[in-house]
Amino acid sequence: MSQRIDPACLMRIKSLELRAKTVVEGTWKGLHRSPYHGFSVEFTEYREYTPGDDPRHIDWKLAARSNEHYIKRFEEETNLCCHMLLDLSTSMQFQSLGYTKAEYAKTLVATFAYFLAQQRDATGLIIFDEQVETVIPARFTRGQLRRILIELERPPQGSHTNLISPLKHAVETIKKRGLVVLISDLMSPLDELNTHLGYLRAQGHEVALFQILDPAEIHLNFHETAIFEDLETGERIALNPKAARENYQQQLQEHQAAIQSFCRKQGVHYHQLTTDMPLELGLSEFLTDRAA
Amino acid sequence: MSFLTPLYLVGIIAVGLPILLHLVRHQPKNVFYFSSLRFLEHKPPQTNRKNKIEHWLLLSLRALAVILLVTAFARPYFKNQDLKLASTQPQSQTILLIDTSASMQRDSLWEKALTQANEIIKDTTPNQIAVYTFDTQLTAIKPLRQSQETRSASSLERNQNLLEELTPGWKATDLGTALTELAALLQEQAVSDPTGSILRHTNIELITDFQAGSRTESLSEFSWPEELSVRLHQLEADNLDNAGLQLLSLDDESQPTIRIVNAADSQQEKFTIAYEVQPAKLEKSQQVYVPRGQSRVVRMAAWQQPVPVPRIVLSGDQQNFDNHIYLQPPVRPNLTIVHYGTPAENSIESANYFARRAFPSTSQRDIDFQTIGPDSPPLLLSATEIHLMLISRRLAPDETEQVQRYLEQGGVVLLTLHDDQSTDSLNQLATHNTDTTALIETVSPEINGYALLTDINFEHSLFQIFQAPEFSDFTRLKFWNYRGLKLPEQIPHRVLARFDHQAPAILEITRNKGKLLVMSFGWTPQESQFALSTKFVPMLNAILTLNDRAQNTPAQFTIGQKVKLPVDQQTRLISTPDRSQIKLASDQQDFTETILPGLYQVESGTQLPPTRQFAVNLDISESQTEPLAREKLEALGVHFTDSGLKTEENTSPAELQRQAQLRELEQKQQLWRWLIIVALALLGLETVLARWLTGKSSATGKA
Repeated sequence: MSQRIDPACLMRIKSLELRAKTVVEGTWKGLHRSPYHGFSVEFTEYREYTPGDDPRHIDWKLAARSNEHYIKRFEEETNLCCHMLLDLSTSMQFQSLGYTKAEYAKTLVATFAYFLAQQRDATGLIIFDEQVETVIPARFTRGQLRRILIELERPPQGSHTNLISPLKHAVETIKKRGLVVLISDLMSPLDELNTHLGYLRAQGHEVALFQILDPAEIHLNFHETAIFEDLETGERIALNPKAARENYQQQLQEHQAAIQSFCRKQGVHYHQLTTDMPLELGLSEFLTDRAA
Repeated sequence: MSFLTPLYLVGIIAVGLPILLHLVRHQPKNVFYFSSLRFLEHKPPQTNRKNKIEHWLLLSLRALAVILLVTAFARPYFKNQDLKLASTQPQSQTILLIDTSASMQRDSLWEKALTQANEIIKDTTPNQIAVYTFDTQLTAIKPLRQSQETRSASSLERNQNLLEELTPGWKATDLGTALTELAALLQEQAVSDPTGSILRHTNIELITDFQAGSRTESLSEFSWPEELSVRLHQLEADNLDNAGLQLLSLDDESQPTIRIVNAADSQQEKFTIAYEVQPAKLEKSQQVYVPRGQSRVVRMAAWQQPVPVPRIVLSGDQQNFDNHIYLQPPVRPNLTIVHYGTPAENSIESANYFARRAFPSTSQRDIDFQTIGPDSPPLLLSATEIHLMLISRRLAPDETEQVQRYLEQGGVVLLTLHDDQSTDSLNQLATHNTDTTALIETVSPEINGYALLTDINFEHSLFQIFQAPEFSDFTRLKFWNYRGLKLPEQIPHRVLARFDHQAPAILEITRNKGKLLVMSFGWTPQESQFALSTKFVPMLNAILTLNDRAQNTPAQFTIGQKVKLPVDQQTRLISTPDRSQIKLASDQQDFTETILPGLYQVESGTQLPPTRQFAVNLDISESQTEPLAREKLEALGVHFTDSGLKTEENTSPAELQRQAQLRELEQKQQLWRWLIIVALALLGLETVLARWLTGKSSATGKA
């Protein structure tokens, strides 16, 4: 197994692409697969060119020899159409390790995008907070990865989370069956999340849910009595964390249990990632889970 | 406890600050931005509206630290009895330090010094002045202690009378010693003073010509007290021209070599030197050119006539005090050495062959070496005329008696054990035949080829000349044979060197006034390499000088130098140059009253012609009469005050003086330092305690 990359070190790399590249290549090495050979680019057969085919796929060398136009047929060509739904609401701006959950999530999205681009898969991105902010339809083109990375590097607008609108958008717009990945801290109410995930599953999509949490959100390891301010609502309460910890952790566990419960029912891949976990762990877990 | 700056105590109000902070601490100031408060139950912290203090220990530590800091700023000190004394009787004293060296004899310098001293005495309260003079040493005319004890009795007139009795002498100037001794006296006096103000309030009035020849070396080894200052009254002579004479050597033919030193501020550079046979009758004069600030060495023509011995006179400068040199040719002593050995002329197997050659007659001494063989006629010399006895054979009974008598009279005897029979003579000399149980025994020595000397006592005068590393190597000196000696404890002895098997090689046995040196080996080449080594001659001559009477007696001295006198005369008189006679005690060996330049004669009570004559001349440093650089003394730490200024305590009102004393007392006690140290320690303890109480501070920060 390769060495894990410490997220704190990874986040110090400014370029999102470089981060993604670091993780992906690290993961591939970890999986003992070369990123530079084969995979989904092995062709199986030739077929005669018919009008409407992309002329880029004509084998010109063969045409020169035989004066016939043939098209290469690739194995698993564009086998996957992946849509990533990224939550960039203000709650994702919380941090206790020197980088926010949003940055961690963006790196995760970039990693996926890079990975899928390497596999010649179509990738799309929907960024949302209260409403859908950015939509990049899934495509497999050369510039797709660049477009995604540019969108990811935009500064966040920030408001509270509304999970329903991006899910609705996804249900309405994604026609081709594929993979839908939702990346969020899921700290908002889960009222209709179950229903909308159900819609997606009903459309035949494969759905993965990545919950990004900060370790401080799980353990509530604050020691000083202080005023706590909600990043999304601006609500303030004076709190003694020691006294509140037990109750908080209990409620959080219930919340997590609820999520896991409906994910299991709906057949959604659920992954909880804390921001101190190496990113490639999330990627490899996901791949392993999907292969199973 | 009192406070120097009590107003600072107002700051004690600040003690309320930690209490306030302690109470306010419960109102949370920190704001943590959290992702969602959905799961947080609203549990407000216990903001203590009842003003309840949780950590009494922390609070008291903080409050105590504040109190200590405030108290430190107020500069506390403890008043004691001594301070009361000091405040009622302010210590203030003036020390008049007058130069009485030879250079003060120049034209009107002494009158000027007395005028200056009288002025100072008039300006000073009579009971607060002490008077000291100095030349090579410090002399108390009216010492410090006396000036305090007899406060009421002192008067202006009496102090002035003290001055009238003073005159400058002929000694050299040792300004450094005078100042350091005076400062040391004052420091001793200041030990009992709690405020340490004695030094500050003491004024040394130094009246001197401050000539360049003054010695100041003592100051370099002395830490001059910072509080003590010296007011310099530098006297200037009317005529600056001065040159001096110094006798460098006087050879066997009475030909003197002299040095002429010309002062740096002198105007003259041409001088005449001559013999002065009678007053104003000069002979063999010669001109000498000496540039100012330099010196010239001149070898004068020999003076053939033995009596009277003239003096050398310098002329050409204005100052006469250092223009004479008295001459006394050294006396060539006759030394008698008796060797009880086997006479064998020109035989290198004989101990006598080497011993005779170790003591040659020189220009410094005349040696009469007599060898007494077993068959020789008995010795006719009296024991007092013999300076060294060597014994290298077995002694006959009458010879033993003679040696014993010689030892009892303070003689020096060297006994070498060339053969085993010599041990009998050793026993007779060492034990005096009184106790037959305490006899020196010989044992057969352990020799593996040869023996070497170890454990050499280089402190003993026998080996002192070999002390330097280049001479202290005795490893080339090999001994083929020696006598192993076993000395009983009854015989008081000192082992000066041992063989490498720990057997004694050279012993010193003290017999009454005399010294018996025993070498347990022979020095002939058959027995050892000693006689052929470079150590032999110096060592035997060192043994000769163990006898006080055999030592060369110098005849030229400088003023104040100690003269060593022979002890063999019963009553001695010393005639001084001013025709007075000083009677010396019979056991007095040193004559220290060489206070006048001139010729001194030592006369015994019985013999009429003087047994010895010596000359005493002035120290050449007194001829360097140009002014000394004041900076030189300042570089050595001496603080000078301007002679025109009055000291602070004379002009300050009493209250100012008292405040200064309080300040000094507070500075001496320096309680504030301890208070700050304790306050810092308390704050450190508080930090540790607070950390422990609050636990590890949150690593999870603010969003």
